[in-house]
Amino acid sequence: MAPLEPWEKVLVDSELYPDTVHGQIPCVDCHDGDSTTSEKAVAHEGLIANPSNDPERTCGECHPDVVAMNEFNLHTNLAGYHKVLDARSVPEDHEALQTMFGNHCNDCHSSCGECHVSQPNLVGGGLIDGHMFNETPSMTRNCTACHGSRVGNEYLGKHEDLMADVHFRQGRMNCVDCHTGHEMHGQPSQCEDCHEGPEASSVPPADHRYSGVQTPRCETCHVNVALGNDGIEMHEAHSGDLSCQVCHSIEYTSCDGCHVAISETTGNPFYATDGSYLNFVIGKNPLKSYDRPYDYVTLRHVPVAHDSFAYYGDDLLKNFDALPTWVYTTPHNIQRVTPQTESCEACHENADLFLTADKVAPEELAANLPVIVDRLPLAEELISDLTSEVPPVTDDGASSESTTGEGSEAQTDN
Amino acid sequence: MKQAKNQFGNLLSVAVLLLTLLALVSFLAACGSEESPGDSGDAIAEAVLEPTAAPATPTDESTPAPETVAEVVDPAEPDACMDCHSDKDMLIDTADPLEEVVSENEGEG
Repeated sequence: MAPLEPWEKVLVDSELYPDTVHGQIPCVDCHDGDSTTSEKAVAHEGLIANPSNDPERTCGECHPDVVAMNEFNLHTNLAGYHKVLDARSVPEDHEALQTMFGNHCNDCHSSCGECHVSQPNLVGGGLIDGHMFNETPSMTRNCTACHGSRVGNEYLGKHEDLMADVHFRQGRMNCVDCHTGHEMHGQPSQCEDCHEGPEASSVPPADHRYSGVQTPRCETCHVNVALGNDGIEMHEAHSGDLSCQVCHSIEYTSCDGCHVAISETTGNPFYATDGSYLNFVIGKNPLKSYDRPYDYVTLRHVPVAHDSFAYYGDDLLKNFDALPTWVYTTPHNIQRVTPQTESCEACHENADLFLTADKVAPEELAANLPVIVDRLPLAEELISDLTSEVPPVTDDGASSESTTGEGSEAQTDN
Repeated sequence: MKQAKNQFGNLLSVAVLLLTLLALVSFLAACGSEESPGDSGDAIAEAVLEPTAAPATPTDESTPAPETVAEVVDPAEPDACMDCHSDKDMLIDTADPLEEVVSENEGEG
């Protein structure tokens, strides 16, 4: 996405904008400044360039229901980052980590305007359509402007030799076709939307992108797969034990070793990552729950290292091993046919696809024990997967199902 | 004699009560006759049935937003903001010089 020229960033469409609902509101109501003078310096005195950074004062005036949810909005509160940083550290180091976070991570925050009026500040900002308010954000100028290096490149097929996601390639689907405004605005999913009785309780707002009810979920559209009546053997065999991406995604991006610091020459914060590469890795599900019951999921490596924040203090991640560095991921490059769907043997006993201990850096072994696959699904197990409701007993007397994961008792929420 | 006095007293009380009720009915009838021609019994009933409690705060974004209470642009008022920010040439002429920021980041972010 080419950066906007300075004039382009602030050019208002004088023909269309004044006739819109927002165009009826005097500029100074949201932006402050002085609208009675054309002298730039005077007019811009006290100017608020991004009024939606204070949504209660501006957007909330007319959209109180949406703004009321803002504190639960992951785009606003960045709760996912705080959650993992807190888990990997001890309280005494939280202050230093907060300083680091403010210098390096807080820019990922997104306000109302950065989705509905302008490009995100992270990519230079600037009005998108002459200050017109777009109810639906632009996929490329808003969503993938930030979520570009992984999601955007995968979904739009920008990696050489890797096809775009079928939902884009054939369905021309936009981000918001799956990721609704409710999800983006942080509205907690309500169990009672689908359930009755004791399960119909409210769930707390998400504090991480993979916490709480799974939204969106593939089965919402692919109902036949969820019901197991689409006639595809692999769907019947793996109905609840594999996430959809295990079979239907292709290579995606992982990153290693992000380190942050403040430049001695410019005083600006900067980062350096050790590497970024494409891979495809299946591992044990680190977030197994009622909503994500799968035994196996796709994993990607996140760029955290023991000394990622060493600039701010020694050993700030004292609980580094509390979370895996290979994390639950949902690649956005879904294909109907993938190498995994070619045959049962494509996965069973194919060590290349699984996160085995030899693929994990020695200093990260302890952190990744919960996701490392210590025993590959055997070829003979696929026969039980496909033909038997009761898992056959193996030589050592244990059921084969129990050796492939903890999923035998797992519930599905289809 | 005493019994006759009591009976008279009771009759007097009943008479006073009836007169009071009559006066009340007359008063109410007079009020009713002062209604404006447009008023009707239905309107009164609606007014009485009008909920007095504040409506619940909508939580669904699909619910219509309340009408804006913000000030509305007066087309007659000069608006220097719009005059400048809709003039491409002026914006080019008055733009601050672009500060070139060289990123010191290394690797994919």
